[in-house]
Amino acid sequence: MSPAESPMPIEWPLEFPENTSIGMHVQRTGDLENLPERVDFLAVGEEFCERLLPKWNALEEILEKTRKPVTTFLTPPVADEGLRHVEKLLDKLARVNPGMAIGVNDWGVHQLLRDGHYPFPEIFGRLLNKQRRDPRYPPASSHVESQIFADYIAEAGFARIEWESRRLGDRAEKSPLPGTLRWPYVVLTWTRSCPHANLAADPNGQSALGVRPCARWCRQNDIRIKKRGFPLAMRFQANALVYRSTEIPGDIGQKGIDQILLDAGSAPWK
Amino acid sequence: MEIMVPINSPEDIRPLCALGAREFYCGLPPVDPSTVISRRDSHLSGGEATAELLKTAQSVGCRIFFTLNMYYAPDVLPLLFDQLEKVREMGRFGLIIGDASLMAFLKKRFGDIPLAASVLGHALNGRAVKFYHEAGCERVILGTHLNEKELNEIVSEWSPHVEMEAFALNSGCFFEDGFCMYEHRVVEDVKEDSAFAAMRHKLTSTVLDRGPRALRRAAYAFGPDDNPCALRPGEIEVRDATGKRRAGLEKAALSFYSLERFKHKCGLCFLRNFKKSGLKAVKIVGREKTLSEKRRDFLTVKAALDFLENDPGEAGYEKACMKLFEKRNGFDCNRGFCYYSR
Repeated sequence: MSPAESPMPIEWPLEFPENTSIGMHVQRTGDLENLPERVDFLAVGEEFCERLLPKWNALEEILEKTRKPVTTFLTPPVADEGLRHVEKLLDKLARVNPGMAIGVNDWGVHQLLRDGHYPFPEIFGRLLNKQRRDPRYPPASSHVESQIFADYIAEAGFARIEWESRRLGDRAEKSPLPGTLRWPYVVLTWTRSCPHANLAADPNGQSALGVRPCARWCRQNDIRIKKRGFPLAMRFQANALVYRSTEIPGDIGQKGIDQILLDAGSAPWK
Repeated sequence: MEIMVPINSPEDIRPLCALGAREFYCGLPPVDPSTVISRRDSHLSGGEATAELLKTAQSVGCRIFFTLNMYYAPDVLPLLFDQLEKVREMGRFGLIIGDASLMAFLKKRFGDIPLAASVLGHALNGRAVKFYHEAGCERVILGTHLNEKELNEIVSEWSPHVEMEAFALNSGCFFEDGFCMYEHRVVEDVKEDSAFAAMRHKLTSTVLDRGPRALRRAAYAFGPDDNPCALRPGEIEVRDATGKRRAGLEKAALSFYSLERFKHKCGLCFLRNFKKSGLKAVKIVGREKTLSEKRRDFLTVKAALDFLENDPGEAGYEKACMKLFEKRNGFDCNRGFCYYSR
């Protein structure tokens, strides 16, 4: 395990490359306390779990309380009910903050933005960007380096693309779009059969894992996985299984990455 | 309702067709001796087998879909397109694709080939189905990470416009295929100076798929009975807000993530309502299985669909499906292996 992947708490302040704007994903007003000065912009919303998407008044409260520019609204993969909630939030954001960019992690959300003629620029989200993320292998050539992929995301109207630090390789510099580096979590896999919701609904494990009602159990409890043969500790960040990799390539500016967006709950309070 | 049956050889078609199968899917052969393009380690052996498969399919009047559901590196794409040109001359087939960018490109270049959106395209809502429909897909394969109500809602809305398919039998992961980047094929013990170690650094999409078959098989570090997605004691830790470990919940989690629950997934009980909603086809997983296992699985799903012809009612249908599960697996399901939740 390299020091960059240590499970120890992240030391703050962090050294980030110059000429890179730093953003923080905030999910509640409490996250606004102790925001480091170095944070230039904020992202709101939720990118993994549709059940954790904020209600409008919670979102509005963040927008009102912060002095930092809120430039991004993140959205998760959603079923139809979640998509209707996203649509309501987009309708309101279009009136309040039409310049905000939308982080898209579901083709249905992309279609909604297209059908609804919303004013927002779209960000090709970290879940749609299928990088090879398994830390047991070095960066390798991937479909995102192909001209087919580059042409497609540009034609589809995306304005920006999200990358994760691990296994970034030189892929980002081949992208036609400006990049945002997500940090420090790397998403290894994702599920709608959330272990938090399933343990809350069936604490004896009698049933099959399934899409269960949610009591936001993940807000109070912590589930970690340590697999035989896998070198890093993994954690369920809501319904996404992530590991931490604090590595930041030194030459990200040359790769077309001009933003680093810190994950919710990543620092400095956790 | 059609049953989409997995195959990996032209010899599979006639016996399964004789039982009533009309739709098959399989992986195309490697594009060169060291470059596999099939996501599963079970695919056609070569050009001759592909030609024979398509010829047989045409003679018995069934549909063939080839799976192109990986994310291909730039150096593989030209080889892939060359292969598709050759296969197109052999007969008619459809393609199952997960990558939206590849789908758009193939629609432009091979407009006459029917396309289906793979489960790797993670269509979780009606708008995502619309997205794939507008991209030119004739069929969208829905994942198992939808509950019964959600899946019915999508199928009811979109089945008049596009064919919809869902999973019926065999393995299904606890995680969503379309978003999973966990590498299932890992070599822990390969010496750094071996040819194989050098090769693995060059490999792209599914990391070890370009290796010789024997090495690829050996590369399943976890072995066939220890899937990496199933958890074993000591591999999960559950803590509450105070930081205290919850042993009872850890035990429950191990039950959720057991290998048995992974291997025996079943959606038969749900087919009655899915059919009413307008579902076009159901998929059986298991390209790598023997012909006799494929025959058994096809007959299991067919028996469930045959029950529907006489509409035994919801309770009667579920009881019949639970008996089918027991007959196939040798143990009761107790609703602990469901693909979908209610």
